[in-house]
Amino acid sequence: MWTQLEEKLIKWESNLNKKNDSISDEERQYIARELPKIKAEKKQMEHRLRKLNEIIAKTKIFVDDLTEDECRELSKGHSLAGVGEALKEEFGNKLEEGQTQGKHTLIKFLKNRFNIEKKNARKLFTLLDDAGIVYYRIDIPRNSLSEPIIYEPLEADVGIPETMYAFYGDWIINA
Amino acid sequence: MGLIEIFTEWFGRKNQKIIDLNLKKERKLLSKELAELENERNNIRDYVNRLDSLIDVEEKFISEPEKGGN
Repeated sequence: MWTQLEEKLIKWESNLNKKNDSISDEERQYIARELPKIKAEKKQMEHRLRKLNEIIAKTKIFVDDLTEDECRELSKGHSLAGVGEALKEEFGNKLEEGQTQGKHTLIKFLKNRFNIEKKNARKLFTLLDDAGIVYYRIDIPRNSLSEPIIYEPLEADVGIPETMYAFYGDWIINA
Repeated sequence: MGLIEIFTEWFGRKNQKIIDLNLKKERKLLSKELAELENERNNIRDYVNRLDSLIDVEEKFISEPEKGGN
């Protein structure tokens, strides 16, 4: 569908986007003929946009409700807000640990705090991550943004050298 | 099939799919659907902006002779 729409729009843009101020009578007639079609197309697309916003809003509510249900199921009855608050009480607004270590710390806390199996604590952690209640934020200095981030393959049975990662971050508790 | 019919059919399928996924409690698949819908919305927004730009330029050309008089 988008290929056809794009073709139609590119045709209009190439035929109508005259950079010079003066146009011939023939061009003016073409514009007068095509302008109502472009306006009709715009009306059609705005209608689609409005309907899409409705279906997006509905889907968001479904996702939020399912996230809440799953949280209560995994944490033995606690709400997302409640789990978030428990994390905040324990760690504050952020946990200053690396990506892997911090994840283990948070899962261990969830397991002990809600007295749940490790498997469910992992699922709960993923749920919190999906919901944006916890996330790992990498700090990249602005003066490093123009430099490429190099990927070096990791050799098996070798510890990860510190120099492998250029940037570090923290686990943010966004409850 | 015209573009209007294609969109109408696509929209109907999406709507049914999110209802089904919600009933099956497929949170992750529903989140993916949400991302796809938002992507579609971004495409349409961009398309409407380009149509607006075209309309602005072309309306100027059409109205010019009237403004300038004879």
